[in-house]
Amino acid sequence: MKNTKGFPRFVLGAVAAAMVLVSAVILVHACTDGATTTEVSFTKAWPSCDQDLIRQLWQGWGVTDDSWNPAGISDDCNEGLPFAKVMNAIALIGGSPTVAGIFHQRGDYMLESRAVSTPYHDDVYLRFIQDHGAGVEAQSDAGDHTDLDCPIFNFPGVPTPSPGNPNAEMLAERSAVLIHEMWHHWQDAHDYDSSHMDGPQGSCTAAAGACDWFYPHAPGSSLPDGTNSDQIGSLNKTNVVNDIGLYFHSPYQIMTEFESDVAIFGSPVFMPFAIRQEAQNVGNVHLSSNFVNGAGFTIGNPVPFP
Amino acid sequence: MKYLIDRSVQLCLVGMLCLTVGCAKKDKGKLPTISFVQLPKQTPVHLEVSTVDKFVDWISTMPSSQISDVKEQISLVKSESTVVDAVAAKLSFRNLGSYGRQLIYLSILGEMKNERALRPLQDYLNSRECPVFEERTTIHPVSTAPKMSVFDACAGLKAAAINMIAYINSPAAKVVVVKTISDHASRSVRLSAMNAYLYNNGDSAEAVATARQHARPEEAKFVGLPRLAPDTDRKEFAARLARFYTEHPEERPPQPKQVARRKPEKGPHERVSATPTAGPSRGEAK
Repeated sequence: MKNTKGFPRFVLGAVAAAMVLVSAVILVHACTDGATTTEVSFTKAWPSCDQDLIRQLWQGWGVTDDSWNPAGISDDCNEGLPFAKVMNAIALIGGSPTVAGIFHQRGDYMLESRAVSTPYHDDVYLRFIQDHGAGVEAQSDAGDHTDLDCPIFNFPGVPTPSPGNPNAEMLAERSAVLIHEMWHHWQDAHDYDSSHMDGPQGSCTAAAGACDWFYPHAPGSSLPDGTNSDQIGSLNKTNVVNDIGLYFHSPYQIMTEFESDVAIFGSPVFMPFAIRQEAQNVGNVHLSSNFVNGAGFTIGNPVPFP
Repeated sequence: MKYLIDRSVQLCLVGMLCLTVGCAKKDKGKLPTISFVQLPKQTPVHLEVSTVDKFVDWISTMPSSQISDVKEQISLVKSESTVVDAVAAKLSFRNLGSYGRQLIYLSILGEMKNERALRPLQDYLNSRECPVFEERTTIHPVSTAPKMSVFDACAGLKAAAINMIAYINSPAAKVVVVKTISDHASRSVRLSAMNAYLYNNGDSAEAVATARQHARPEEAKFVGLPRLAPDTDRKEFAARLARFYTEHPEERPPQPKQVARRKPEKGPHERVSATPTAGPSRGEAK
């Protein structure tokens, strides 16, 4: 009876146990869990486990869908899991600069990136999804929601046999992705075509569905209505003709302006240096790879420790 | 009696529901106030072969106000080959640690300005393990009308590598930089090489001419783009940005496309909400 039909019982038992274990791992671990030292460091700069604050962020940024169940919503200040990483990204937007001479004010980025009750767009929600294809960070193609994908959460702390495209779990990029995706909803709400263009074309080196136009404006630029672009509310203005063309934003543009503001004017006391360094680096890559027309500037000085 | 009890239970439930909705509504539309505290100033870590990881942990968690401490520590060991080798050994696309850690390893090597770092930096720059957008054909969205974010991480790390090679600024490093301006597969890396070459050669007219001479014909106009840095004169920056689009009207964007307004589409599935809770071992303020 021990070995009646081919496989010994203990092998079948082990296989069954392994399958249960694998299922449990799949249920609990939606992406590759873990947090970088920079991610953990930033959680210490704000009350990242304050449940009242987390509920405000959860509700305001629409992280309310049950798709977040396997992604850490029940362990909401575990910075190794996607849900808490979204909270950390929102907090970074909430810690972005407020000085004069930046592209846009913190209050504008906060309101724009908010999912509900915002003058920027209709109410939407954020959904967690593991994968939309290699390297896709997020996607907003169904109108009332935005999907956030594993590449902006995966912890790259373990060696990989096939590097391909490394993940983009950097906090500055994750925050910028929220800002980018919500701008699609702004476009929808204001009757603009919210699709990206296909690439590669012109100066855009990305593939299908990841190219935009760049509408240049300088930080703190004067607008014809007498305000400046770095004043509260100016992000929500558009089609104002200034001396170099349109005052308008595309999704990739708005994320690079945020990254530029964080890189250059991010807090030297509560923001880890590494976040600012990453913001400069990723911002410059987007400037040179996601626009069909040439972006006319670069962020920061190309030095080791800017 | 049973009716009264049932009504009381119903009223209680309705009351609790109203309270819940009331509490939820209170937060709607109001931007939360997030209070930030200063990150602690950390004791500088001495850089040596055995402390590379600890040194990078320090840099990845410290506030920018400690950058001068980092530079001071690196200056103490900049001529030590064993330290260069130990840091260079961490450069990897297979074992990143994290994207940010790779940026920091690169920065340390750049800051050391040690010719010995040139070879590993060049290997990293030209590695085939991490294909840039131009070398890949596999990024395809699932949707037919995507509005997605993608990031060329390989180009980002390689752009940082060429910046550090340019910062070393030795004759051999300059050769690598001008070759990268023309030959690298990634536009992001080529533009980084142009920018870094100019920066490390004082933005001189001679440097501009050299970079233009090596740039691909369609990219020569991007030599000398203005940099937006903390010390940038804002008026001058705005003028240079405007000049770029005046001199190159073909780079101006078209009018944005307006489309007929459509109501947000609901997703195909019925939404179920979930509520955040602290994990069993959490819930206390950090």
